[in-house]
Amino acid sequence: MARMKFLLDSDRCIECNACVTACKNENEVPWGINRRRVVTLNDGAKGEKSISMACMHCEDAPCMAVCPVDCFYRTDDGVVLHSKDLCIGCGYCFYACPFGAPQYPQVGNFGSRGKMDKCTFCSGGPEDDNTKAEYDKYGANRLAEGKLPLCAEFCSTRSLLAGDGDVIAQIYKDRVARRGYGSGAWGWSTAYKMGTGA
Amino acid sequence: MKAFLTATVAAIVIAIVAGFILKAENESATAAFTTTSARVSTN
Amino acid sequence: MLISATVLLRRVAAALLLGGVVAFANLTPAVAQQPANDAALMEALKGTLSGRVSIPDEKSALLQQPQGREWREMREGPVKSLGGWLLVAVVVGLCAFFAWRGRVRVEGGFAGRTMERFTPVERFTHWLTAVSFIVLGLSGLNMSFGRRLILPLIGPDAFASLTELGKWSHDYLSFAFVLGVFLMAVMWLRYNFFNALDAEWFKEGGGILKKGVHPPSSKFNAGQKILFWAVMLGALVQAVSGYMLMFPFYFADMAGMQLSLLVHAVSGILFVALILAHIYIGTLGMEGAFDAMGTGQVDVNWAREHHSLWAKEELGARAPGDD
Repeated sequence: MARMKFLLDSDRCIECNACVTACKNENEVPWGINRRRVVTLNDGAKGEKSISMACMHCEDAPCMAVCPVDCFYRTDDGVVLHSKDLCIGCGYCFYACPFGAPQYPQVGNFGSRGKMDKCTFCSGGPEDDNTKAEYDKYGANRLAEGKLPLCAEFCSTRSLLAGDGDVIAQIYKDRVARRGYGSGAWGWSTAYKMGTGA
Repeated sequence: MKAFLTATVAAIVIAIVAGFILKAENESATAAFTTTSARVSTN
Repeated sequence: MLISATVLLRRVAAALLLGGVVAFANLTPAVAQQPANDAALMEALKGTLSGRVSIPDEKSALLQQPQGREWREMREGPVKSLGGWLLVAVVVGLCAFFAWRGRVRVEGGFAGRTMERFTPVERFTHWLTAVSFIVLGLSGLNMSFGRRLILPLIGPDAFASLTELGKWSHDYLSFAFVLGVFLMAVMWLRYNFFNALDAEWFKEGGGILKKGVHPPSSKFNAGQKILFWAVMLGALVQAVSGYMLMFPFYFADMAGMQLSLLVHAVSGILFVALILAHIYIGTLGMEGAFDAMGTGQVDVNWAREHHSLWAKEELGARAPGDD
């Protein structure tokens, strides 16, 4: 059984934001909600690196642990999803997430922040696969069609890899070996227990 | 008894009024983070 | 006597600003120096890291905050276990105390005549605060313990609806609670300063441990004074942390929000524990006590036994020969 992960090769990311655009379009993500975002470190200086971040679909997901209504679940592929029907918009998952994945449609908490939204690894939600109901709430379900997330498919430099963790870790290892350098699979030691071994 | 009932009603009324005021203040993320150059569709 | 809205608003704003300033000054983590080479980057990438984004929402510039994991450990661990067991201990302790001491009776028997202890305004204020507190406390406890205790009983859909209702009630009733506590402060502050009499009262254990012991007391005895100040402090802490939570990232950054939640949870649990004891003593624990807040009229003998100085003053103020 595949264990789905993202791997961002920060040595290749050119901050083109194709991944962001792909995600926004494919999932009809409203303005103000940033399922995927590109953060640039050392902007304009030597050692500038850009990192594309959505959700890491962690092993021992902190969001799942702290949710007061237990609205998260994990699929067989290791993808962390949640139910917008149960979500009360309290925002605790955002405080717990090391990567800032949860997004909310309302700014303040006083009227509730609204239902939390986040990267689904293009895997939809609890609704039946590829129905309109699922699409309206959670966006596309590409995994059910046998496809991989669109952000990685669109990546112009193949910096963002998505798929079975072992497969993409191997791709990255080969890459690092061939070119002679690599800053590592960023975020993997935080999100997963075993890291890449790269 | 009367003080208790009046207080309960007062608490509920204050809560409802506060609710209306704050809900009106609450912005959607779209409204809060839209820049002037963006054309935001209203669907 | 009601205070003007502007003064109230200024007090709240000041408290919030204080909270925000404290949060910012003490809690903003030092953002890792953005490193120039790969090895240093790998090291830095394990810490809190912020970069540049083209997105207007500032929060998205925070790339990584591993302290979220510590926050999760703290909340799911000590806060829930210690807090939960503390509440159990308080309930068990109160039951044990009642089993041993029984109800504190009016030893001279009821006189059958009453006197006014609390005016309608005082009682209204108390119940405004109390009713709000019950809902605030229950909905608050539900946020921490509901998932473990109530969700298995009623299922996810019903529980999510209940919790959502609880969250809205909690947010909006907070204003009624804050108003109630504020009015209490205005009404009762002058009766709650400590004096030598209170030391005496404490030395005799407030008279609760043995029959026949009735240390003198004015309108509020030393135990009640402690409760008053505990409520003032608890309400202030809850209000400041609570409003920081209700206006997320207006006054505090990520570390500040995480701390606010921990403070709010811990302080809330302690507050509930305290009020459980208060409810006990005011209902089951002491015969004749509930009348004070129920009808406002207390039996004269009850007053003489438990608040002797206050009773003497009040009764003496009426026409002589009344008792």
